[in-house]
Amino acid sequence: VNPSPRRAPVAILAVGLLSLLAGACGGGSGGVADLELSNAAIGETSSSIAAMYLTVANRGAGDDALVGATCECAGEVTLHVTEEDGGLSKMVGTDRLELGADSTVELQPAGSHLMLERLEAPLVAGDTVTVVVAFERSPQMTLEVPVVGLASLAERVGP
Amino acid sequence: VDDTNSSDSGADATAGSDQPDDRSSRSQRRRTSAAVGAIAATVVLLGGVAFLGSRVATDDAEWAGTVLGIQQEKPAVVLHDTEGRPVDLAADTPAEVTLVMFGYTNCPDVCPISLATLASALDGMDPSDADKVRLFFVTADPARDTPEVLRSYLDQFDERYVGLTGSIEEIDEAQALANVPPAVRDQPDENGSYTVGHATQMIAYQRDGSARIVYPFGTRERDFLRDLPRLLRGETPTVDE
Repeated sequence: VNPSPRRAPVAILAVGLLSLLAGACGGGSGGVADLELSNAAIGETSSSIAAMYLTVANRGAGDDALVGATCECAGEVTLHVTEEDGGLSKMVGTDRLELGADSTVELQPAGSHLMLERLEAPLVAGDTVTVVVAFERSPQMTLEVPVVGLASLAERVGP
Repeated sequence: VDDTNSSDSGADATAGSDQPDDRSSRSQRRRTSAAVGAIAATVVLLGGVAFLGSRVATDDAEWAGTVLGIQQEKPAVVLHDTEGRPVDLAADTPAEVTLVMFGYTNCPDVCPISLATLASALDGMDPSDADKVRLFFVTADPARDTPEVLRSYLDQFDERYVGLTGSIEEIDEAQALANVPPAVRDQPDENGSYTVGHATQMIAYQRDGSARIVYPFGTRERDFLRDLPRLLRGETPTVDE
């Protein structure tokens, strides 16, 4: 269940335009983000919500941010960070997840996730769901995301 | 080419549950909940001293859960199950191993993974052993988690799971006696939805009413499969000196 990585085609094209863009970006770092999405999975559910996890590698020299997602299967997809505070695990909504240049961000249980809300139908392990992930600077990417058993997601819990 | 930060091992381990149980991934996972870990570490330090000379059964094999330095007793508090029957967590929990966790059914991230992982482990155990383990899921969100909601939620995972509810005061009392911080409910947003901050560990009480080990979020199926039969046999987790 490791879908082949998807790259932002524009990011590759843009490498040649690096010097031009560097002046135009303003504010952020001078380079261009080069995003690679992998390892996406959605936990199966028979309720109206599900969590989606994935790995986002930014191999470029410019910062970017994950700013949202959409799925035909869900009324809404929101971005959440789970925070630990005094022994409590607490989910907090957020507008963006920073994808710094030359870094990898894991959306993983008890870390951060995309939450598919108001699902039209239960999601069963073995299903595949199309999710469009949006970024601040890179073009959106469409992923075919496998629905997996929840127990397998425990394997994703990181440090 | 790839960076080698620690999160990679988590990603690599997603494919299945047959990964070898290596120590490094286990120790990484133990850092998952920093706060819980810190509390546990403190308890371990304090308890390590208190426990010297008073251990009953020593076992050299390492435990997959987090061993408590100071054992804790079942919470003597009365809640109600999804049939409306009163359940005293101390007196009415005769199973060989009683697991207690606090959560809520609108929890998309932590609770379903914990509940599914344990269910999967119970399925993998000898059925007569699995029947000797009882999970009590105490809602930290009694307003939304009606008995019906709780029952149908838990049935997704394992019909043997017991859902418990009560007043906020009773649930807070249960958490205090279980030695976890009380859950915090956010203000509802414009749609009336809100999140609940809650402790995520499963506390494992043995037949004598004492818990000596807890299972933090991220405990794998193989961890439960390793520890639960030992707890059923009456082995008592103790902290290494």
